[in-house]
Parts: sequence; structure tokens; C-alpha cells
Amino acid sequence: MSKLKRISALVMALTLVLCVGYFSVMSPTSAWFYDSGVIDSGNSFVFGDVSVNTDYSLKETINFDATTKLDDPDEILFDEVINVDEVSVTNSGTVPARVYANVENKSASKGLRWFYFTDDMLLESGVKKTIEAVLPNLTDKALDEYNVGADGNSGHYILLQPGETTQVKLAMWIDYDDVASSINAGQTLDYDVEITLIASQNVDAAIER
Amino acid sequence: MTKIRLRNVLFNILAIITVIAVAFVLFNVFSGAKGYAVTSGSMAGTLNRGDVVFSRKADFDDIRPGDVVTFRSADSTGYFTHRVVSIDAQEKKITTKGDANPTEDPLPSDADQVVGKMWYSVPLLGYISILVAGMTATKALIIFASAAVVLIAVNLVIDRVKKKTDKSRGDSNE
Repeated sequence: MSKLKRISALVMALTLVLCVGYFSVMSPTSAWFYDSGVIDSGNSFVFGDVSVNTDYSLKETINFDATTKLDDPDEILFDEVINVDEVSVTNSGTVPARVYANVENKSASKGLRWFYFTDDMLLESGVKKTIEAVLPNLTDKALDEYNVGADGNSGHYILLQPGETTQVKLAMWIDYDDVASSINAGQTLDYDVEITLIASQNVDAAIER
Repeated sequence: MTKIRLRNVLFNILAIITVIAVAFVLFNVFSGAKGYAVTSGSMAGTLNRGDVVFSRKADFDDIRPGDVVTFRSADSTGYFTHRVVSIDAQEKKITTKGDANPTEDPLPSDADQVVGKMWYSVPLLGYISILVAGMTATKALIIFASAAVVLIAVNLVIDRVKKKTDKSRGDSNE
């Protein structure tokens, strides 16, 4: 091969690498996802590439030992009386994904509150201190905005990289102001709840809960 | 002789691929088309995962129901490409739907979220971007290093074969 040809081959190879570079830095485009399929397999939720939202759903009845109140500064037993549900979530796909949560109270009784978190958010001093650190104030409105967003269709999410598994946690408790009269009437603190985790692509969009 | 012919063929193939690639890149750059790698299946049938959709800038007035449009997400962190179902000209809102989705998208997009209207698409090309995006730096380094080692090894083998051939030719000439 002549020297000119060798140089041309080198220049062409480099040009080709630049062209491949051009194609490799193209922005990804995806879509909004809201059509739900349900995966319910005990306490683990595994999803792949989410071309549509993938939901995990868990129905259970929780018996709370006692009531409490988040914004009561004198309440020191908050962490003792909350119920914490834990679900192992795995992103087995090849793109990062968000996992949103929702807890629905299926009982007639009022007063259920909840908070969505992972251990890496948890302060050593406990769940209540973690909530205080995350929320701007300890009102129901601030808690709702954190959990499901102001529009009810966004809110806190856990970002999972491809192949990553994490334990997501849902702390639930009963606000004593809401149930004082029913407890006085002898009612127990049994609540039917439905926990939903929604895997969605890592783009901002409204999601159907 | 065969070896020289093979090298010429390889050179010509490289030249053709390079010319096509450069022409394609320049065509898109000068026509104002921007490529987006399709990463999901909500437009399956029209755009499949791994395709590249090339979109060109379009004004709100140029968009019609039925057009496939690329939008910037509300927080500008990503893009999505869906078909326009209806347009609210007064509110400047666009309702979209993925061809493979059963219903319309839950929220309409604002006109200023439009980044372009689909011009054409190329199948499979987007896998380059998808593969690179899914790669960790270590993985990419290993792949490039392995490719370099393979190329060096091939070159060494070719040189050795060449030397052997030259030597045997020299021996037979003596």
C-alpha cells in the first residue's frame, strides 16, 4: 500500500470515528407513560425497560398499636408507633428509572398518613427527624406534596440505575386528632391499605396513580 | 497479489463507508435536522426502540394533528416524541399520543416545549447512542482497549504472513 493510501486510510478511519461520535451523542427521546400493568410478587418489585408504567401493588390490613401526631413537638414515641413497610425494588432494565409510591386508605376510618423514603435518607435520630428534615413544615399539605406532588401526580421518587436494587420504605401512622372520637367509641385501629409503586422512565411527566 | 487486492478492497470499503457517513452527517447539519435516539416503544409501528428520529425546527403554526413532534420535557431534562392528536390554538397547547399507547397523554404540552417536527427516521442507528449511554466509563475503556488489541494482533499476523510470503518468494528465486 502506498504511503498516500496509508495516510488516506488513517484520515478516513479518524473521520469515521468522528461520525460514530456524532451518532453516539444524540439525545435520547422517549415518551410519557401511564398505562399500567400490575406486578405483584410479595415484597419485591422487579421491572425492566419501562415502555409503559409498570406498577407494583400490595394490599394489606395494618393494625396500629397507637395513634400519634407528626407535628406534635411533645410526641417522642412517634418512631415507636409507626408501621414501616419495606419493598425490594430492582431495575433489571438498561435505562435509569424512577419509582414513585402511593398509599391508599381503603378503610372507612380516617387518619392514615404516610411517608416514602429509603435508608440513605434516614437520619440516625429516626423517621420523625428525617421527615422534619425533608418537609418545609409538618402540615398534611406539605406531606401530601412530598408524597404525591401538588397535582397528585408527581412527588418524591427514588431513582434506580440499571441493575440497581434498593429497599424502599413506607412509614404509616394514624393521626390521633382524626380518630379520637372513634377510639373513644371503642373502634380498633385496623386499616386496609393498598400500596402502589410505579416504575416510570426518568423523564418529567404526569403519571397516572 | 491477492493480499494487495484484499487491501485495496478493504480500503475501498472504508472509503465508501466514510463518504456515506460524512455525507449523512453534513446533510443533517446543513439541513438543520437534529437526531434523537428512540429509547422506548410507545411509538412502535412508526418509531421503534433503536431508531433515530430526525426532527427539524417547526413553528407552532406549522404543526398539524397527525404530525409526529419532538418535545422538551417541562424541566428540560429530556425529550419525548409523540403524535399530535389535537391543538388548542388559543391556549397554545398540544395534545399528543403514542401510536402504541391506548389513550392520549395525560397532559397537553406547551407550544414552547416543541423542539421539532419529525422529518424522517433511520432504523437501528440509535443503538449506537443507546449503547454508549448505557456504558460505564470502565466498560467503554475495556471495549476500546480490546478493539485496539484485536487490531494490533491482526496487523501483526498480516505482517508475519507478508514476511513469510516474501521470504519464500526470495528462496524460490534463489
